[in-house]
Amino acid sequence: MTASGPDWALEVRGLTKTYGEVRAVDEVSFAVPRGGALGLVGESGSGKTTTARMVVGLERPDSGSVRVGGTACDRPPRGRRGRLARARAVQIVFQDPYLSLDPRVRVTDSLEEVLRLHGTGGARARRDRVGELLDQVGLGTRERQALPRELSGGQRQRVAIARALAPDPDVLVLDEAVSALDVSIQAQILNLLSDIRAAREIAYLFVSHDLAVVRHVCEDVVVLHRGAVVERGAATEVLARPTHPYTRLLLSSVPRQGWDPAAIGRARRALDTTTPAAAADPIPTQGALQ
Amino acid sequence: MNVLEIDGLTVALPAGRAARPLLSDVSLHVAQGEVVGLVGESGSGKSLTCRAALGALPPRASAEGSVRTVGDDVFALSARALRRLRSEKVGLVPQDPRAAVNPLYRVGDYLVEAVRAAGVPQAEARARAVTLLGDVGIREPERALRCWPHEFSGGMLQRVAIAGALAGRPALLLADEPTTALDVTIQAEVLSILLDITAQRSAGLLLVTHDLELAAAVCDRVYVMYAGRIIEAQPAASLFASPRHPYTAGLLHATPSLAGPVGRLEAVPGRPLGLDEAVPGCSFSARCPHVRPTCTEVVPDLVSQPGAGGIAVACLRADELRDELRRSGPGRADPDHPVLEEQPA
Amino acid sequence: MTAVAPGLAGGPATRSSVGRRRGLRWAKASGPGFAVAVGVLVLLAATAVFAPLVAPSDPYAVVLSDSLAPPGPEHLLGADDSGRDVLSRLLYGARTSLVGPLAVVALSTLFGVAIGLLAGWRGGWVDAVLSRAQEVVFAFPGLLVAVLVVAVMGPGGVAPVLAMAIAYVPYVGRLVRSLVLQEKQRTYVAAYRVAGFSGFSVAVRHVLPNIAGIVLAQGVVNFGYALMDLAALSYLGLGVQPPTADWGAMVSDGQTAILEGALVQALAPAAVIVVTVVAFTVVGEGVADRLARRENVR
Repeated sequence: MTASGPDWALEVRGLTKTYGEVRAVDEVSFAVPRGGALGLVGESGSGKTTTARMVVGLERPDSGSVRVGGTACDRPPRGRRGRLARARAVQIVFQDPYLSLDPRVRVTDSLEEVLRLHGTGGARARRDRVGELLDQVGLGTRERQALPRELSGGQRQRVAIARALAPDPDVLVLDEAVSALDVSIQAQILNLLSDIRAAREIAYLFVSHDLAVVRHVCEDVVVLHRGAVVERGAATEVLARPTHPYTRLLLSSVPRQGWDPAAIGRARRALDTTTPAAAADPIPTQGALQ
Repeated sequence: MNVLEIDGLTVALPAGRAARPLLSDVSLHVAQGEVVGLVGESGSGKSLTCRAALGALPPRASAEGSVRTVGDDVFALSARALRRLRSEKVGLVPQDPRAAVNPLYRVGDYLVEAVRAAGVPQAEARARAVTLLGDVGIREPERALRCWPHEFSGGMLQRVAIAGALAGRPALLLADEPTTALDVTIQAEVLSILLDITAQRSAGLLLVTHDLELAAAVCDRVYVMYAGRIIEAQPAASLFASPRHPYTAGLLHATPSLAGPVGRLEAVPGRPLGLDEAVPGCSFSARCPHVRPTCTEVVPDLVSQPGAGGIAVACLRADELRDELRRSGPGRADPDHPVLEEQPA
Repeated sequence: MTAVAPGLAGGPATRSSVGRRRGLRWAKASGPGFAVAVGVLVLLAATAVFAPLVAPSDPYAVVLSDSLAPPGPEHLLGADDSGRDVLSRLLYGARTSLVGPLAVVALSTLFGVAIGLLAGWRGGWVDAVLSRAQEVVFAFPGLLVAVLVVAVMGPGGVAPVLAMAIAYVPYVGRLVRSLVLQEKQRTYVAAYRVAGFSGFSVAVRHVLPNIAGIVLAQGVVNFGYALMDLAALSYLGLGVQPPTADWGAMVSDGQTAILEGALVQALAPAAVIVVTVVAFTVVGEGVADRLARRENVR
């Protein structure tokens, strides 16, 4: 998993980030092969979002390294060339489609400005490319001139995906990208994501709390708990035969028939008591699981 | 006895610029000691139906039909009687406890206020608040009363909010997406508390959620809403294996599962609509794989199915499709998947 | 629908109509009051532009025999102690009285937006320095700053305007800073950064236009206040110098006449000032309310 080589689209090693006393991300390492998809699974406070933000350069890690296609991109890029190179390496799609588009910018314009920045020359060439991108994410001609507020959540998320694809990145980070969508829309977007991956060589870092979704999108999975990796492996394998108690807890928390919520509560408390600080405390406190 | 009885509820915003229908002929009931799920996607009207149980409709909305909550016709109640109903007979569990509990007051103040509003004398209010916190499984209630909301995790705060909802010994609990804002592992705990309490007090629980699997897992009966109408009602036990409405079946198929084959999901095309955008005839017809020309002409009634107990479907082809919609492939319901091994204490 | 918190905002329902209270609030924000205020402002602007056409007589024509003439067919609002027609002076006064605040608002908005944007966007020590500097300015009463500036630069039109502009910068700057901090949380900002856009371009081309409406509304409210402050300076004799027609100066001039029983000469300009300030405030807050509502919807 940590072997170095040109086959990795994204390689993260020993990534660490501390906020005050809290170790949000603790020595996290993983790698995504070219055209592969890795699920980064965890709950709030697991450090999954902080990890994603460090990968795209929105946060600076305290230590550790991020390499995309073998090139180091550890710190927020400086200068126009650095920014553009970083943008072509990795892009991101966020969770809430209502906040991730500028409310004043029309769909075509929001793609066009990215293309212009990345030097797609000529108005005509850009218009063609915008058309291609919107076709790829399944947006009809009617939606192209629309403002974000005229679109549904699913359509907005398609725009966000098209915008992220515009610089033609090697890696796409999807930060809970389908969590805010209705179930019927979520399935459409998940299918779209697999179509995109089939059509171009792009690797996904799929950040999510939803194990079933991760299982459908990703070949590999990394489970984060309180900032640290607790389990990793092939997605189907890990989800079928979890070894870490936390992964087991996560799995059993998914509602299904004959589900016993009370038993899950007991298991979660048992897991908490392995943390000394939380043992006698009715109020769960933040602490590292060791 | 039914603690909630909604009969033929139709809600619309008034004519004029913003004229639009919101709910059409919604009927449902929750009996004492029963856990009932109300499931739907955006715009289905599930939250609106839930709020109608408290007599709270959108500004200027007009309503037809009747809503009887714990025996009272909410549309006939005076403002004062409505307040009493809300603070004493019905408990509302919020979606996001952080938004519901005022961060500037201690947890104790929040609870004592709720208890006082339910008519408990000042002298007993604090003791009652302690009892309530005990009921929702907070281990040191006295200490918790002195805490500030920000010292609590989301799950713990949701317990506090549930304790607040219980202040008036309600006969009906309304929970609108009570676990959506919480982590998955905490969702189970909060739900188990809600279910325990409902059972202990033989209250009724209306659980509003977008998660069909969740509803099927914990409810006795489930209503499925689409575009302001109830399109299916079924006991949870049979809903999962044999959904009767194409929409319900579509939702189940579209949900990624933890077992079975991995691959393309059977997505429902289009997007969920509100009643105001609904096409003529069956509002699901535009997205339905089983659509027939008649579907776009007649709005199907919710018809009780003969034989099986309490199944009702609003689909013209309900009988023909009965076997086709029965689920063959394993879903999340499949028992063949890792079960939690409990940790030795 | 899943994002709606289960509050009980609707209030008690009746079969016919629910939530009349919210309807009232809407009417207050953009109903007749708002329309009247807009009308007043349009009228004022027209007056300032077309003063020479509508004024019944020359506002500077001294007719000593008409000194303190009461309202009548000759002088609809009477004449001041120099016998100048009060109505004509009010109409012409709209020019000086409105141009000053306009300059104050333009300058304070320009600098306030620049400072607020920089502070909110960069954060850290930049924010700390700019915010402390604004607090220092904020701590001085605006009028006091104006008096000091006038003391240095001498009275007249320019000095008070500059002084008031400086005094108003923190109002704009602090608002812009808080709006920028809010807007920065929206993930579209992060998405643009990740797409390779420079911080400057995201701040100016995306964040700024999204907060512009509320800043503009604040500018309208500030206009009313600036008008009042400049009128006060004129009243104190530090602003526009005689014989220029100016509402504040007219109140000051008319004041002595009150002792002689001539009330209109002071009350008319005072009333015009009050109505104007109220109209600006109503319009500004109405616009801000609407924008806030739209914000919630999006």
